[in-house]
Amino acid sequence: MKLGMRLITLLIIGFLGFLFQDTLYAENKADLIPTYIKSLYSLPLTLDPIQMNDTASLVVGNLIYDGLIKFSPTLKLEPAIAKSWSTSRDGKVLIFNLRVNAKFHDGSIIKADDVVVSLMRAGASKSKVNKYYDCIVSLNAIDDHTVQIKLKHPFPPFLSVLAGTMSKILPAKQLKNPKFFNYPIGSGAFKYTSLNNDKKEITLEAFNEYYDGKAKINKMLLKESTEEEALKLATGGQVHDLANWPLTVRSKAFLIGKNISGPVAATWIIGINTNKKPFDKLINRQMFKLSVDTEGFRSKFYPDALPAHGYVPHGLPGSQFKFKVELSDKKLKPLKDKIIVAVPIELASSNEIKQFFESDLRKKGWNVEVNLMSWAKMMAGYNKKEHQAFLVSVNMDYPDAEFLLKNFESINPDNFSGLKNKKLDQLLKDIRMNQDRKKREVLYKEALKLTEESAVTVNLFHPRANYWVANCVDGFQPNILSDVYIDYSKVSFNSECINIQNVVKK
Amino acid sequence: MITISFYKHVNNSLNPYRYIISIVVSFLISLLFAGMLLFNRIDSDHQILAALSPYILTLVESSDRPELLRVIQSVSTAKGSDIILVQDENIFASNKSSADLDMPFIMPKIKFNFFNTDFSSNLIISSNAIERSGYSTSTQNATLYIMTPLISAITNTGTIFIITFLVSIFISMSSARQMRVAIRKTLNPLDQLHSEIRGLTTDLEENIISEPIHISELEEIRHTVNQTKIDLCNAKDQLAEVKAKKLSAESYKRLIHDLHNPVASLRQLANIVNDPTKDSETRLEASLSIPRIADQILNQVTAAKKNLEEEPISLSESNIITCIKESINQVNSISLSKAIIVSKISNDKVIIPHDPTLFKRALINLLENGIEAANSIVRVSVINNNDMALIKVCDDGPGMDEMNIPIYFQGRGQSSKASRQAFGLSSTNHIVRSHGGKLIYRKSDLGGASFEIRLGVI
Repeated sequence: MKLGMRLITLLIIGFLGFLFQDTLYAENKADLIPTYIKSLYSLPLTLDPIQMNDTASLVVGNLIYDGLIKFSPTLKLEPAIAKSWSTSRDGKVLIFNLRVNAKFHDGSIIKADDVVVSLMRAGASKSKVNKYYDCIVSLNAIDDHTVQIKLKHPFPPFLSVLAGTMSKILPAKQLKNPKFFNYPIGSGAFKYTSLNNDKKEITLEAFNEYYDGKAKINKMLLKESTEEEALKLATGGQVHDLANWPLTVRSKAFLIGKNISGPVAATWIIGINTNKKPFDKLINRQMFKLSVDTEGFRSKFYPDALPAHGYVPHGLPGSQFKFKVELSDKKLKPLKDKIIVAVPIELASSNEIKQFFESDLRKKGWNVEVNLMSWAKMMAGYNKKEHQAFLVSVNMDYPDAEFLLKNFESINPDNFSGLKNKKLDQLLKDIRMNQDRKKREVLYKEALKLTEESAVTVNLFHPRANYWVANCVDGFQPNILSDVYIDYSKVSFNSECINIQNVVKK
Repeated sequence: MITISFYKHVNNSLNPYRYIISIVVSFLISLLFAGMLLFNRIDSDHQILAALSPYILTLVESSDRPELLRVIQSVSTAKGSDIILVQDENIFASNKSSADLDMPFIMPKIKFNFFNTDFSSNLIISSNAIERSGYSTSTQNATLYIMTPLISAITNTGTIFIITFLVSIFISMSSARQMRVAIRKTLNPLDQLHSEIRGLTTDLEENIISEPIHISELEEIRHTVNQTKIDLCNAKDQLAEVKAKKLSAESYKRLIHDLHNPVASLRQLANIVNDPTKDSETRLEASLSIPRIADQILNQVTAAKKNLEEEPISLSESNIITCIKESINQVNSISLSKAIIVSKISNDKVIIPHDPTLFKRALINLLENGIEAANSIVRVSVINNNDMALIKVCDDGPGMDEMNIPIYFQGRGQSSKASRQAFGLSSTNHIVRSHGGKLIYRKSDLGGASFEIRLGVI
């Protein structure tokens, strides 16, 4: 009898083992997959999508949050939370049909109300991106999974706006919580897990119920570091991803990692604040713009980047127009007023950059000082419009010159130049309301001419991204817009990484 | 010597051409189809380039790379080819990796140009300059390339080639097989003619009713053969007539020859009667012999007269067995004798030129003699040698004195039973002789008389 009981017990254990073998195996397998470590030049300044205007925040935002639609690596509009959409003939009414299986990280289903509240919030006055939503007349939840958006006028780039990082969908009910963004809940491929004590690392986890399938990376660690530190970590095999850094092909990191290269829709500029002397005068801005050795700077620091012949990145409507500022009086000499140019210290060659600008411009008679400062400090000054001039990379949230030109609209709170030009304002209005490609092209030409003549930017170059990833990383596809839009749900480790991980564990 | 049928000869003669033609035609058709497919592919690439170019030009002019990428990606997916837009020698848009964008375009090494299309070792490259019509030079210095993998085009072309070849060869082989049937069918009239000609030579007496051949040449041959047959028959009749006359003349000669001795004997007896030198007994004996010999001469003349009236007019080449069997049946039907006729005759045909009526009479004479003389049995047998037929009529009767056989054969004999019988043997002998044969008397193995008729066989 005892023997019989033992046999039955063994059989039951064997059967249960058989039932749960897949689960056990999966758990063991998950343990074998290492944490994906991505280096950022800064941790996000905010996790609220409507307050984001820096790349680091946008990168994290794009991992945590999803929009109605999204960009493919080649900027094709693809379904995200919305499985399909349609536009009325006059281009003024858009209907979005939501996926029924799309969920937030807390497990709740994404409903039309969430979309309405999120987009209304983005268009509110507190939003830093409200300029993109001023064309909306009404937002309606037709049913739980259908949203209707009515526009004042047809706005051709509106779908691109919705695919951008500023149009993320948040859980409406949770937004009432004032501490929501301390522990945000999104619907992206990764969910926010923790921020470490010294606020230098954020941990993300793959969202199991992601509508497009669980990401192949189980965990992701976002690690703040300077470019120099990041390169050291990369060469030491301690990070997997330096996509946030503007590396050149000459970087030694590529000797031990993959270089995934591609163009990005960005322009590195020295932004000029028209509210700060001596740049309040057009002639001074024009003289300064013409004085900067942009080609010397590009060839010295970013030789694989494309020369900037204008403000709009190469390959985007408007980039075909090349204007040269002509001085009314060529005999004028630079003023002796001090000009401080803010440059982020996180850049690997920041000291050389400082030296380059100061040396070159002083030779030309300018009293220039390059002030190296942390990214956060520089962005704080940027937001308060404190800098006379500053070096930034202007990235695009959607591939339309209108996005860039809008920066110079008088009423735009994010107008870093402080430029007020009624003609430009009118041209931008006309551009938004015009659906004819050729007519828009004519309007762009005029607007860009005005911008160039206003000399509010010194266009340095259009970068070519050289994304460094570890050799054991697969599925990394660059996005033409910027590294913000890289789809990490498709990134995975190959066996090389898993083997290294096992060796380390043992 | 090995001989084969005409069908096989024709079939074997056509075989090499049939299969070579099938293979060559299949190969050419396949080549044509495959060539058309490849040409269509190339032409389709050029058409797409031509159709896309104006829109691409608009996008290039407005520097709208995102839209270009969408269009190029979409067309590339639909076509299964790589599409690359090159501007100022750099790749401006491509369906391939975005890493290639803004990088210098490296044109694959061209191996040859065909139909205004470049071929590299692994690509078919069609290109079109993106320019406004009416401008002498390109305004944008841009070129759109469609690069189709050669291996897929070759695979498609090869697949079509193989499928077309297999279908063509199957159709050709089926038609070749049908051709064999057709050849066999075509030769049917020839076979029909052949069998008819064979029938004409074997069944001389039968009138063969044949189906129309419907082929003028063969109908002419058949007509000629029929006409030849008729002419041959006529010639035979003429020959038989001539032969009959000759036999008749010979009969006269024979009669004259046969009469010579008795007439000479008669004259001698007359001389003895009138010769005073002879004694009276001799002269009496001679005078007594004169009427006897005179009677024999008269008998012989009478028999000869009768026989000559029965000369054959014409001899037909027919089966003599038929004639023998009919004679036996006729005698059996009228005979009252207890003796029976036993025949040992095979069913094989024995073709001998003869006059059936006369020959039957000759046989009936022998059979009637035999059945009258026989105690119980008369045996008829036919032996067919290579060149001679031997017809034997034997009986188990008392037999005949061999010394008197020539007298009976010449018709001079006097039968002890009836004068008719003496004429019967003479008549039979005459008929056999008139057919070129010979009548021989022997003692029969049955104990009686045995008469043998020997005739030449055709």
